Amino acid sequence: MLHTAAVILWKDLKIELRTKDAVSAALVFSLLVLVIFNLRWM
Amino acid sequence: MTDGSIALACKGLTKRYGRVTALRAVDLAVRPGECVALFGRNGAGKTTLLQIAGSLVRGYDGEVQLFGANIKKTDAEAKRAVGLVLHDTCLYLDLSVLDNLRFFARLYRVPDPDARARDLLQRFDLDTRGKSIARELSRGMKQRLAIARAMVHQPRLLLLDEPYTGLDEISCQSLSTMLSTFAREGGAVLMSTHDVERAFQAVTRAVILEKGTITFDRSAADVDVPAFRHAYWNVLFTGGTREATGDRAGA
Repeated sequence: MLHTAAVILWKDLKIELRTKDAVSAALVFSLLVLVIFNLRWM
Repeated sequence: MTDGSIALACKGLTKRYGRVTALRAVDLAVRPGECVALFGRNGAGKTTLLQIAGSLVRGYDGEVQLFGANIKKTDAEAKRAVGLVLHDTCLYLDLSVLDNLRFFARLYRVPDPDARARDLLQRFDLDTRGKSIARELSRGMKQRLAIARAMVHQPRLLLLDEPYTGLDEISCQSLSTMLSTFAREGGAVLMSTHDVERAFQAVTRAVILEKGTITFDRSAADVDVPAFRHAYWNVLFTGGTREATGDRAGA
């Protein structure tokens, strides 16, 4: 189970390093969260 | 527990998709050392049969056994013995060619996955493209990589859905040679194809499926290939009949 999870993680990290899909999506999402929470407390 | 005397056994296999019956009481056994070609029109049930044998489709009547184990009662050991190539190459297109093979080798816990991956790249004439991203490969190269991926864990049964698709002449010949060698060394192959000439370079048995029923099943040695081609075209263009297929395709 752990072996399989580690192999899949290795594969996902390899793909992520190449495409940077999740990183860019996560950055945009974090920025949105920051902006929305800033507006909420203004 | 597994039994090596029959690689794949289908008994009374029936599969329905709503009102459409894809397979009707199919009885088929593939033994180690056999390379069986499944011929038939589009929609005859070839892919459904391969998908059921590959444990990808459930909800059927009858019984399917892999090396003596009923595939409904999950037997991981028996399933590990299967290598599968479908229409979709099932590759990770953003991984390199080498990493695709390494990934599956590691998943299957192949000893020295790197060496196995490099060996397969050489055997499938992809060694110069090891660092290329799979997305950048041509259709034929992707097909070769998919077949290499299916063989990474040294399966005992290969299920191939139209494996010659997209391959050039040299790759087709090398695939036929490789399948013959695989069967001679004790492996079992079940493949669907429409390519009569190419298939008969490798197969030891030919089966025709018509509307979910096996209408022809003979050893390749007993088949006259031009007569078989004629009978198969009869099946393709006119729908054929059981009797006509059997009579015309026999030696």
